[in-house]
Amino acid sequence: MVYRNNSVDTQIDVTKNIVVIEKLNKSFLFNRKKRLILSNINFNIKEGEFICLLGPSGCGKSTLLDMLGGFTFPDSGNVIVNNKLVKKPGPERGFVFQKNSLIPWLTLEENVGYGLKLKNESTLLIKENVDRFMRLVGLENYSNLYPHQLSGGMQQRGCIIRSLINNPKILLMDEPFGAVDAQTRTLLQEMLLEIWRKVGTTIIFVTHDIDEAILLADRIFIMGVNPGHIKEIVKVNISRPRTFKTSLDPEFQVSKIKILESIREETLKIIK
Amino acid sequence: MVVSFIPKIANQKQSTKKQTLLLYELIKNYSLSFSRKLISLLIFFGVWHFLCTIDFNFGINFVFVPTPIEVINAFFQFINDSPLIHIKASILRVIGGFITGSIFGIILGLFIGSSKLVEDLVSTPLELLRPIPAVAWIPLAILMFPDAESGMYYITFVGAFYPILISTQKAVESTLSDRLMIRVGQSLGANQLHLFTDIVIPSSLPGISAGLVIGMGNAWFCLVTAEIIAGRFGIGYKTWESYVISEYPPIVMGMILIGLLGSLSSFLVLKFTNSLMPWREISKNGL
Ligand SMILES: Nc1ncnc2c1ncn2[C@@H]1O[C@H](COP(=O)(O)OP(=O)(O)OP(=O)(O)O)[C@@H](O)[C@H]1O
Ligand SMILES: [Mg+2]
Repeated sequence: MVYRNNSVDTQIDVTKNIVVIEKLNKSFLFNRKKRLILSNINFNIKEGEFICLLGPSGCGKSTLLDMLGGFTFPDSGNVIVNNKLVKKPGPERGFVFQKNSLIPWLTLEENVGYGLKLKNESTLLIKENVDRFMRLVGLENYSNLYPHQLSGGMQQRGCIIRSLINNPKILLMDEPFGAVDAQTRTLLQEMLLEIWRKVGTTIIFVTHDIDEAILLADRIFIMGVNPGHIKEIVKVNISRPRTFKTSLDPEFQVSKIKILESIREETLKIIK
Repeated sequence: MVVSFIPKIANQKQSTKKQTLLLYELIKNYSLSFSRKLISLLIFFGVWHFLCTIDFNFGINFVFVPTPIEVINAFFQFINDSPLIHIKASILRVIGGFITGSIFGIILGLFIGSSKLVEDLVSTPLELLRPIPAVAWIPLAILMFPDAESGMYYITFVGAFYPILISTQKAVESTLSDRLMIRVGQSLGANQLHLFTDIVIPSSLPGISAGLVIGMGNAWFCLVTAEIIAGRFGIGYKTWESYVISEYPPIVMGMILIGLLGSLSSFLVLKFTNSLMPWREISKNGL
């Protein structure tokens, strides 16, 4: 089954670059001095790809994702999504935040339906879509609850479908499972892969968990520090569908060692 | 288009047995808290009576302070003596001032809090007027307004307006300083107006509510002052008049009546604003 609002015009074209980042530099003011955070970032992402951004804390993962979301802008260079320069946030680029971000004064279903409501869709259509997406992540029995009545994992599932209901070109996820326990996290990862298979959106997923990156990604962008840059791009050649058993796959170990070596160099730099 | 944040009761499926248990717990907690409050009141009146009967005069002089009994007698006298006319007059003045204060305070606070331009344009004169106490407004209130009644409305308005204005402004500013909810709205396609109605206002409601509760209290605060210019009616007027003719028990009675009506109306404001925020859960035992 394919979940799309308007399924005709969103055929996936695997040859098309949905994201292009060129010669990007970004600095922040720090004690009135400019500090370079991201230096010379270049990459392309194909439509439908699952990309993980992996790197140590503070290397600028969130900053890079924020620029794709349109929340902050580069000093120089271009951020292009779907052939358009990113100038402001918008529903065509779904965003799942690092912190729990369901709107506290809306119930779960109001949160999930909020994007469609903003588009002035009819109540009936909103209800249908909300119900379908709620079932997709097993939240159908919690529609009327407020965010503070939900567990962390439920809240993150809510955030994911709240973005997906807008039928975004790309889903940007900033350590969405950082705050849930290991067991729940595995389930959420499998659920995300399942949704991704059904919906087919391009996903950029930020994490600092190596196993998570290998389980999820087609390609892993390993980031280095001082200043933040893309150090290496590792292709993960594990067949799909992947589950929790994937971590026993020999290919998993190969990727893991490659990544560990690469990251070790960076961590040594920080410690020295 | 605009998502409502009006109460919606979460569906809680609970067995009846569990519900009665919950009810029992609720009643128990409620009566415990109620008896604590009752004891605190009894102690308060007890200490007062005691200090009066021993003619306490040590720094503070209780010799002329009427005892609780005298005050109760004054109260009954007041009740027998067409009290409604006074109570009604006062309540109308307070409510009038409070409602206009709320309207101006909330609207201005929302704009000052969210726009630098509006802040620069209006907040300086408002800040200059803010420290002026209600009493100081009396001469101008008499001169500026066509009759005593509107002058009194103006004074209760001044009392209610500022706390509501400042709380609303600060609440909006703190919402805007934490970008997360604004970003959530933006990434879901909200424009400026949506962000304002769906994010900024609801997230500022707790602050606005605090301002309303304080504002309501302040309006009562200013009542006696306002009713100094009253011709004949009002609880504040009664209190002031009793002082002028040196009749002490009615003064204290008037004070207590204002205290009672003031806290009752603040309580109602609190209940009302809380009902607008069903998403909040406040537990003071879980600190
Ligand atoms: N608004 C800001 N102003 C100044 N410095 C900032 C700002 N935002 C981020 N930084 C700096 O940029 C660097 C990268 O931050 P960023 O949040 O992107 O890291 P991260 O890789 O997401 O880390 P984590 O894994 O801990 O979330 C940090 O050193 C941080 O101090
Ligand atoms: Mg981060």
